[in-house]
Amino acid sequence: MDTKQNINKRLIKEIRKIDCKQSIKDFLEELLIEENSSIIGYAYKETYKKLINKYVDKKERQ
Amino acid sequence: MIIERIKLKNYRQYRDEVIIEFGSSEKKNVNIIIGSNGAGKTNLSNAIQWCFYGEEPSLDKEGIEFGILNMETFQKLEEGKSKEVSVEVTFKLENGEVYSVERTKNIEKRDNRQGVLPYDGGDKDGSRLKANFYGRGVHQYDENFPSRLIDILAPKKISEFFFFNGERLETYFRESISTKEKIKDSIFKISQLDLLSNIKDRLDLITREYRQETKKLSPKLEDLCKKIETLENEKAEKIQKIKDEEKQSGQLKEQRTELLSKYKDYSGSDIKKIIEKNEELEKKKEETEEELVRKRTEKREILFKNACLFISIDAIKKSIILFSDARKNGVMPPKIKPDFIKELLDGGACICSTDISTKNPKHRKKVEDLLNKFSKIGFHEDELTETERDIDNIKNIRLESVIRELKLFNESIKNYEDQINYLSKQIEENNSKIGNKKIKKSQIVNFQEKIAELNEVIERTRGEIDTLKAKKDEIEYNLKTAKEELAKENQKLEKGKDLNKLIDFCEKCKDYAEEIQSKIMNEIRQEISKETEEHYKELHWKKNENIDIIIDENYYIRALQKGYNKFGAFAAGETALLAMSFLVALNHVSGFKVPIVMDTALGRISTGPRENFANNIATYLKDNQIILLFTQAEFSPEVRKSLEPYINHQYTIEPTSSSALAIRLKKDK
Repeated sequence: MDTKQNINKRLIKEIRKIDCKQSIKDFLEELLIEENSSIIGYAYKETYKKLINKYVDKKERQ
Repeated sequence: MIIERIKLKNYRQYRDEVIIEFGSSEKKNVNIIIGSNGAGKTNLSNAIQWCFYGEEPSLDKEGIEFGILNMETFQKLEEGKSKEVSVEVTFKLENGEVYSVERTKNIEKRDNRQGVLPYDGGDKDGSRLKANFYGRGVHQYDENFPSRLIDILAPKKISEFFFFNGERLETYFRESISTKEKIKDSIFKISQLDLLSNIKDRLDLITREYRQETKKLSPKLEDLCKKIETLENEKAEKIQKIKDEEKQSGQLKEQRTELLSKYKDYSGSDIKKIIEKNEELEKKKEETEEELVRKRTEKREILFKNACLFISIDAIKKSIILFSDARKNGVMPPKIKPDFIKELLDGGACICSTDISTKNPKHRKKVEDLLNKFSKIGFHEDELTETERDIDNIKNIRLESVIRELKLFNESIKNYEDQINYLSKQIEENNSKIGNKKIKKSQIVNFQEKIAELNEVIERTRGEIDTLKAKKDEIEYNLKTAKEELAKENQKLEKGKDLNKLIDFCEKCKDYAEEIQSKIMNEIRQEISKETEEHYKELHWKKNENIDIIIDENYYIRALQKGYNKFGAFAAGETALLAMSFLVALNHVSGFKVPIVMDTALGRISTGPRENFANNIATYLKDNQIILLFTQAEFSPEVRKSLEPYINHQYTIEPTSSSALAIRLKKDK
């Protein structure tokens, strides 16, 4: 069973539609899946931090 | 998701093992369970919810009292022994995967009460949830978290949208939280916008943490971070205050809407004049009625006072006739005085010199007869004449005057009665002009005062909200400036640059999440508003009523007819229909293809809309499996006929012959 299938499709659609960097779209979409599949009701802070580090461009940071 | 089978074991009315098969296909998506009140329909809905979420939201008083284990099984159970209760729901997903979830609870008989023997690692209430995958389709589910499966397929937080309770539909918009909050909350939940809220909150938290790290880099940065933190807190406080004020304002507006709708017929000045006139007429009518009562009492007093006169009226009349006859016959007054005749008899000679002594009995007898004839009256003539005069007086003076007096009373009484009739007619006419509703001017004044008072408070609240918003804008401006300053300062330091990027990224994502959230919320509100209106119009029995159902940007539900909001004046059945239309619309936008269980959905709805419901429900929810729990009365021949083409399975719940505490299920179809 795909956990993504039960996210309101409109949420994913809207995220993909917004006028911003692709990294932000991907990040938000991934957060949405994390939140939806969380057992405790919300995703862990560490998961967020990992994803932030993944999506914030390293080169840009340095 | 389609429920294929429910297996109940000793669950409430369902003694031993009861298996109910359900189905759903493109053309036949309706399953029906028929049972009288208390038969176990609601507990079937409770059973599914207990299995899924460990809760039975629609338990009645008796259900709470009896306990979860079937009462008959419990009664047969020995003290200290235990028995398991279980509900297993087997369902198929769209992709063909078949799962079953089973909740079990172990009940022990302790002091003739139902005690729970909790399972190791079970849920809080001592029950245990297990899930099984049946090997059809591709299994992608983590067996260690059975509740997670349910939470993904049919989340508990939105379960009220697929487990309808007909008994509660009419109060759906009038429960504890205000209507506006209820609608907003429903749209929020069903759209899963809470996921975006979680994202915003977590990003906010993480941004604050990054700032904490920044603080350590230099004293200036520390000051700036502190400033930002203070401003963020102030902003959050203002946002909360705005929310509170808006909520209060919403409740006040609802009160005003309800009042306006209740008194809508009385708000015009003409109506007020009519009511004033009616109050005047009512007062006059009351005075006239009092006068009428007084006159009737006086009349009665006269009748009592002269009762003897009226009782003897026949005797008086007869006496007058007797006197009159006596005079006509010459008996009264007598032509010859009896004393004179007596003298002649004593002398023995008549005035004509005829011998009337005893020696001449023939002549004497004639004179004696004459004496007898006149003596009856003659000796009492004076008294009789006096009596005759008295009787004449009674008849001509007293009786006539009483009758005259009574006639006058009767005329007055008739006048008062006519006046009262006239006033009543006028009041009735006026009442019909204002819709035949009895209302007093004082009520109108109260209503107008209340409306004025509410308007004043609403206006004041709006002013407060505007002030708070202005303050919030100012804080936001200062916050933006402080953040820009912090970013500039951070640029000067190597590690600061790095943190800057992270903070900037989080802030941007937060803003986008906010933007998406409000966009979706707004779009869904409009869609639900439109669809609710469509369904309501189709289901409503008064097709020509022309009511527009609108959920406005402030999440108020309005039923507009000729500019008036009729929502506050909706009958129970109309509210139930509106709630049903709203819930169906919510289901459509939810994206969840979950079975819809409707318990006593038509209980509060009259015949017309019942048929409309039966005609439309299968197509409204064509993508969902529908389980309808009906009483016999709800499942009328018309409803049955309309639903017939869509019925997949149909059962009747019947009490077992041995006990009322257990049921058996008869498969009708």
